[in-house]
Amino acid sequence: MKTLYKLLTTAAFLLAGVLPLSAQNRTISGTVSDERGEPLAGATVVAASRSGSYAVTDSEGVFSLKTKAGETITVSYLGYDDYVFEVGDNDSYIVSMVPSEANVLNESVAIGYGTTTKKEVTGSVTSLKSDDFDLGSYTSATGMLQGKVAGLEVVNPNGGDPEASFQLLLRGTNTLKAGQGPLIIIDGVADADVRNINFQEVESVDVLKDGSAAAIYGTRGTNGVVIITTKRARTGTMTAQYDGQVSVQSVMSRARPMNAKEFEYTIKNFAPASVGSLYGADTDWFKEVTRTPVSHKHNLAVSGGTDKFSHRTVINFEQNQGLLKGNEARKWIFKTNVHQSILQGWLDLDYNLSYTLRTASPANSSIFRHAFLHNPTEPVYDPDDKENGGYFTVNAMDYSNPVALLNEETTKKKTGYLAANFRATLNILPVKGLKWDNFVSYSDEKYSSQSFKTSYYPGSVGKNGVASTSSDEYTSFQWESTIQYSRQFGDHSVQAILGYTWQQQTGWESNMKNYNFESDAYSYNNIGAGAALQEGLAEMGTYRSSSRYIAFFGRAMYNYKERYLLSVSLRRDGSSRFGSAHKWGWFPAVSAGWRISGEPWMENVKWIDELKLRAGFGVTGNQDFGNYKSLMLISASTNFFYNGEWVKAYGPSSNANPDLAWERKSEVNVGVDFSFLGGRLSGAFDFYYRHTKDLLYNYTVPVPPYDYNTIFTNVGSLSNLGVEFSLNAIPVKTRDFIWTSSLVLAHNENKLISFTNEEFKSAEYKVGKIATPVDAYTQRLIEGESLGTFYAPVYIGTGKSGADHFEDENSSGVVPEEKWQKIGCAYPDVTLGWTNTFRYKGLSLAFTLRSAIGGMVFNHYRAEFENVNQIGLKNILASWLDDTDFTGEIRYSSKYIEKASYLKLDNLTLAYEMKFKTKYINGLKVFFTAQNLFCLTPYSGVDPEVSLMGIEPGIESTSYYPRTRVFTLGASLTF
Amino acid sequence: MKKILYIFFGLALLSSCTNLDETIYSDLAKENFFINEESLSKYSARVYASLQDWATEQSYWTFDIQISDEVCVPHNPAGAWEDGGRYRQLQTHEIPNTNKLLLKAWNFCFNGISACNDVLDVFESVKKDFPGKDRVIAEVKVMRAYFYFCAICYWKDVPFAISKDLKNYPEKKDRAFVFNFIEQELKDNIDLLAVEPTIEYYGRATRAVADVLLAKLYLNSEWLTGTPRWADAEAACKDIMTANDGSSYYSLVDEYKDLFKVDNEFCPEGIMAIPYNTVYTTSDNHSFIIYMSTLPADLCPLFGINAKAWDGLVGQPDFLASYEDGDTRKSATWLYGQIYDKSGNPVIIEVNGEGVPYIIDPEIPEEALLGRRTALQGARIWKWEYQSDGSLVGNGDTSMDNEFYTMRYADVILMYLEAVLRQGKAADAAAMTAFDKIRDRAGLDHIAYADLTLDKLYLERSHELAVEGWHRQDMIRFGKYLDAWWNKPVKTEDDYNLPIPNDAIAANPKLK
Repeated sequence: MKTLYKLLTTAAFLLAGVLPLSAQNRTISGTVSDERGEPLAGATVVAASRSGSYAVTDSEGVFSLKTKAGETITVSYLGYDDYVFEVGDNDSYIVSMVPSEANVLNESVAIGYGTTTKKEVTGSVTSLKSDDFDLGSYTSATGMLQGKVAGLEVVNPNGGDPEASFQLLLRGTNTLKAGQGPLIIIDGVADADVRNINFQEVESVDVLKDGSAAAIYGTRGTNGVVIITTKRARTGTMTAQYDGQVSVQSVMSRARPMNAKEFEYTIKNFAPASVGSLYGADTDWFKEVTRTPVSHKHNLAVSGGTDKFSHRTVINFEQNQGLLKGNEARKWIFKTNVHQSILQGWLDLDYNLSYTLRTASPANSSIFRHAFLHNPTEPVYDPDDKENGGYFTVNAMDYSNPVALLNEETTKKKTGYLAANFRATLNILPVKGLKWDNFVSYSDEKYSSQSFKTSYYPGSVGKNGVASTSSDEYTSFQWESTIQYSRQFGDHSVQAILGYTWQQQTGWESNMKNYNFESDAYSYNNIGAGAALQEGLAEMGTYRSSSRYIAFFGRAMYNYKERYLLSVSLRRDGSSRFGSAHKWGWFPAVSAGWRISGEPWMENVKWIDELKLRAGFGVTGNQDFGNYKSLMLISASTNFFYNGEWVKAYGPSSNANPDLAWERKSEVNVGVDFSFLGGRLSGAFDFYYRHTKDLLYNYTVPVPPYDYNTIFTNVGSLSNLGVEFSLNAIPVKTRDFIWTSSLVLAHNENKLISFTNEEFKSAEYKVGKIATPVDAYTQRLIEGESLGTFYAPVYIGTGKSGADHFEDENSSGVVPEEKWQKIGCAYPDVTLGWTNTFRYKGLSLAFTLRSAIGGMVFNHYRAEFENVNQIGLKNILASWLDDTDFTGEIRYSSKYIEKASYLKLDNLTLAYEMKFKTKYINGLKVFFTAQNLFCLTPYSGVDPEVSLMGIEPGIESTSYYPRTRVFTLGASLTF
Repeated sequence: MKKILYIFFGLALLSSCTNLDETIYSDLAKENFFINEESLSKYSARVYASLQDWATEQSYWTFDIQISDEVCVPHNPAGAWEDGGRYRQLQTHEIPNTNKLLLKAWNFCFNGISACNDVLDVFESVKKDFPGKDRVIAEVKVMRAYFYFCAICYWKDVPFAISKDLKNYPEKKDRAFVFNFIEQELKDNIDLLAVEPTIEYYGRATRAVADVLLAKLYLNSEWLTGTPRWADAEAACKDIMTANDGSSYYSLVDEYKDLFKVDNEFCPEGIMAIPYNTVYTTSDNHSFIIYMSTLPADLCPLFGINAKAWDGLVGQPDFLASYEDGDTRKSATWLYGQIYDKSGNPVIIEVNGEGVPYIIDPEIPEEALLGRRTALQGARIWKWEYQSDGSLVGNGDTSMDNEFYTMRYADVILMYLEAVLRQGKAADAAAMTAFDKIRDRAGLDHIAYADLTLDKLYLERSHELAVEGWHRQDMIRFGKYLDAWWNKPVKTEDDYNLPIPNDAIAANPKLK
């Protein structure tokens, strides 16, 4: 590793060395120290005129620099504000750096195609820096946003799955069927996949929440925009940082079925008809398929350089084990970023090259469902049953031996992601503040998977092994060209941008499937050997598609004395996915701000540092859905015996909708930013109203006249209204001890305004279908009500006969659907996140609590399995024994719709940070983190925090991955 | 020149900078597809492709055999086949409009009708003439009449659409209206259809198919519309019996089993075949997989089937008991009694750790509907021979190879006899000869026309056409459908009408 570091360092300096150096006429020197007077080693000292002169402080904080009089010198150090001074008569300077947090107002905020400062921003934007995130272990960088951004719900519905991704939902559900995730932009690349970066490399995350901020991204801005900036090349001494961690997981919660004793007792006493299902063994199926997972992650970053040439290179390796035996994901990332300034400052060049390799043995999460419902008196193995590979087997549909499911299938996935992008910025030096920026980005994702089900895999016994492979490739080419102008004219400050963007995405998918192999030993490695190919039963397919996205946009920002702020933007957006008459749309936005604290009459109010009123309006769209939905396509579906031979029968692929058009969301946002008492108390308050019209939805249509029973079309409208509040406080701050606390709080009200038009008149749709044996639609889409509203018969108690009773039930104990009542809504009333950090010298303790108050969740396990009639072939919930009076049939009712409020301790971290003044090691940080420590909730199921995405939120799945606690020990070493 | 080039490249650049046309790669656009006559006739094949849904796992056919007194689905020994009670609801005739099997039966009819309407619209809009176009159009119209006939046998009111009008959803029309439409449509098109059942018209609508439909329509006219049409039914049957210069193009096969064997293609008795094939119809909504629904897993190896079958559909005990002694069609249709392996040795099954002979008893106690039947209770369907070459595999992943003849000549003979008997007329001698052959091949004595009663004819139809999908309407026509049978109480005439599925009403509020 050291050799590598040396090598990189040498290479970088050699390159930097060949750059021309202009003549100097003076040498100054100085000492740089931190707020406590301790010298800062490695701070960079740069002269402003692009003369190429720079210096780096040594371990005593001392620098010396050749320069000339009148030159402006900037001293910078990570985590501190830049210190700027002009070279005067003195040859010696004392520089005392101030930590950045003391002056958050000048922090830069990414606003899409540019940056501004926190002070000047007029939209609703949450900006987080790497320090704001909790330490710990994350399967994806977006997981770090959990509980950190008011109004952004970050949910991981897949628990301990090492490949789990987080679902992001900003300011409620604003669409019915198009995509709901925010647009993710990673280092300028739109629609990037967050799995291809590692969370330790995130420098900052900016969340554009309101319409006026997101409108610059037009059709893709409806669900907000998350701009992730990874750590970039920066000027300064060569530093290398290693981050490593090891984590273990333990089960936090799962649905508990009966054990063998309870199962036998229940059958003998309550379901004697099922005694045939007692097989005498005692098997804990959950234990049979799980293990204690251990994971580790390593990240090495090397960076440094001059203002003419700097770079950052990252090597990352992760291995994440899942709770399920054999379930594992690995990730390798190699990424390098080079920044170069040439032609005497005329041209800035920025190159990025990254390759991410992700491999996995994915989880078949239905194994958890099988492990739950499998009969605990069945043994795992039956050595005499050769036909089933020695697994104990009971033949029934949807009922398989979980251990056989686990052992007899091998699946490998591999994703290689290559991304290269290049930014060239032409600084038109004669016109101060004018530049022309061109960004070209290409990415290529190659995905392949192989799977083999042996001849003993339940459900394919008799097929003599089933092999399938798939190999997909997705490419994206993006070109963006902008002209930017930014200048201060006395009290007037202007920033303007004009741009064009063009993006083409293509997909290529191919798959093969074959079976009937001579031997399982082939696995998936000789797919042609399966005899099903010769029998005409092998499968083969390829599919290619592409989409194009084009936009013209402009934005102008103006402020007067940083007091009155105005921003106007307009975007003309086009997407190939829409009907021919609706390809293009206009997306305007305007926002304004008034920094009251900047008024002269506020100067005497010392306790107010910052007070700003903001208001904005913006229009955004959504094009996050599949290609070709507007076109009539014809494809071969099956075969027909025609004139003595089999021929393909052709038909329409789907119901085409040539009128497919934009969903348009308009949003008004009013907010206040404040900072009091010298930054000790700061925060923001926002109020918004969002209205989406021409909602896209798969409307049910009759057959005939249609060919299929749904059509994807624009019909309804909905709104979300809410408030968000965030507060950052420093309650205690002494020389050695600091307590920082930040709270985010949000409330959102969703309302489906209309769902009908001339053609689609049915004002009520039933959704949230729960399959048999529950067999009910749990939610209804009703005009005037929120999405996710549960309707059910109201449970009043269990009768003497053992059956459940309901309000308004008829003589056979059934409540007709029209008499079902509104039970509640899946969405929480309030969501909260509260992070606290206590720091004493190098020691810090931090915890994050997260809570949702209100909201309902459908307890699927309870409805299906807390019922003694289901016992026999399948196991049931052990909790049925708590109330054995209920012996009736499963009847969907309010009994199974429970309160979903919760309080979770997401993160508890103890960390110790040391700074060294040795020659090689500059800093060491060690930490111990416990994640998902507890969840306080009245909910009796697995986890009240279930997916809130889509139009059927709040329904717990029975094929879930169990929730786990994660304990991580980590270290970070700086060289 | 240079200038022109600049302008050219400038414009090219500009237009590609704003070009948002979608490029299609893996499907065909309409304008690329309908280029010649072949493509049009291939497009019409989607009508017959939708017919393949007839005998899928949850289909119109499986609905029909369960709602009649032929088949029942009690819980099996493992306790499976509860599925929210959807099978039980068919047995007890208490079918809510949310029953999934009901929706599947509905979809068979209306997907078919919609496919026909689409094809007819395409034929009208794509102005390409070719020889035989009128016949293809007539075929599609006759198939649409068939799907409508299936629909009105189940539902009193049905949505009625004869073109692909996306703006106006179909209105509900009653049985009498749709009956008249079907009749008119068949009459208008019958002369355009192929008369001779050559290979070219195998599996397609021929004149005889239209005649069978007319015969069925008229025979059931009494309960469908209130007006009996026996003479018209007779005439339709007669047309099939005499179309070939006074005799029929169709004839009865010698061996009953030949109608249902694996290689039963081009059977001279078959009038309308749905060809199924292990390779070509192995996909959702197109495959014939009755072996999965009826066989127990432990019997699969005996038939050379490499699958874990689901052990669900079994014969109703009273239906099994209704066969005359010596009727070979009983054991040709149902698997019961001692089971023998390929070498003819009796098979032993393990019950409570002890080996007992594998003898299937058709008797099933009524309590089994809510409880469980044993492994040795309930006759299995094996009318369609199971192919033993090992190509039936997995979880019903492959279709059976047998053709399903939904219309056949024996049915025509029996329909003819019924029509004349009900009119009190004498029977044609050729028909009686054919009837004798039907009895002969069943191993039974002849019944003289003078001795033939409606009850005898009903039993003959029941056993000759058992589980072929016509039994429900026979039961209604012969006055048996409202009676009580195994786990089914006495019902009123409302039982002739099934509820319109909830999903269909949600899609088209005009059906409320």
